[in-house]
Amino acid sequence: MVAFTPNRNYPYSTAGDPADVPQALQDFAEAVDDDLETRDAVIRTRPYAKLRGAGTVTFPVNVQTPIPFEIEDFDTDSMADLTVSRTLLTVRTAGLYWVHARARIYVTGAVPANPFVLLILLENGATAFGVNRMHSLSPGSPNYFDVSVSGLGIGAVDDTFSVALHHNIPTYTELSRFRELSAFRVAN
Amino acid sequence: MPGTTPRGYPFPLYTESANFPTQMQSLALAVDTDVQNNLVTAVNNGLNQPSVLASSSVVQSIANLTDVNLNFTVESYDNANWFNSGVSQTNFTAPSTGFYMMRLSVSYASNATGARTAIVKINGNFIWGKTLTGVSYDITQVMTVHMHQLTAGDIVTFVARQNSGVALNCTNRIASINKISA
Repeated sequence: MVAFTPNRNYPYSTAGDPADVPQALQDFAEAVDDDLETRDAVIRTRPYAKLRGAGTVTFPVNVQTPIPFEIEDFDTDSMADLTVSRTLLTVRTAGLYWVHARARIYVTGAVPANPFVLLILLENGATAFGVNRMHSLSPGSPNYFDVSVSGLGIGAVDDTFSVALHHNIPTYTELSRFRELSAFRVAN
Repeated sequence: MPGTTPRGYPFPLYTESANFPTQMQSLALAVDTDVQNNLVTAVNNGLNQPSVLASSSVVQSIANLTDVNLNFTVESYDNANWFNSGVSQTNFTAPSTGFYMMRLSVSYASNATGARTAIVKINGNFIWGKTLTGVSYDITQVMTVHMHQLTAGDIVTFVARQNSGVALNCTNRIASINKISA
């Protein structure tokens, strides 16, 4: 009767087994191989996704608006489907995620007296879990500034992460292609 | 006496008498123990790094020109006993030695005078800070991210400091720590 190891369930021969050394070694080797391959896949497919922009986009003034993306750089867990949504990363494996976003914003002309630009990380389109709020906006040369934001999101399966822009600069014209959103699972 | 591989797996030497079941059992059990203890556990730990996420929206007064330890009232995530609000609402204790990423976001009430700083301290020592100028028409929100080595038992505190000339209220604050590497 073949026996099995206590943790990984690898088969090994016992004294009463038929003397078939090649078969016993093959069974053992294949069991170890399968086990290590499965472990390796768990590491290689750790959830991570990154989206970025391809062209410029414009945004309304004084309206919180989700930022769209056109290119999927990495996606190990099918978090993005740009044919369904250009703004969302969807959690497929529940856990704690480090989420990061950045954007380059062009401004032409004067800014208002009390300017602000907010980059907001949102869970399920509503709950902010990271906000970067900028007030010192003095466009000159170059006439753009970069904003980034990061945060930890606790994601259940089918929860979504997105990033939104909110500003009050009438002379702001567009968001450059230098915009991205990434999410990386750090814990269960 | 069998030979052993560098990982400790036993194998029969040519000079040994053949006892295939026993020799195979020894090898299988050695591989089993090694994979379980040194690979599977390491992978699982690597995929579930010690992390904590805490926040508070309870107003906290930040005195002028004073380092004030921020307190946290909501613990959203903690998989390694980082934080115990029953013991301290300000201290985060590193569960193991390693390289960590720390993040703090702190909001100050509107006030146009002076600067607002978000600071990370380890064992009471200043490690990193970020400063922004205050504004009169909006809250001032300072966010900083920093990576640093921690030793098991180190105490991380998140600190606010401002120089408006008067005490300022801190409204919302979020702090997090994630282990990156051993």
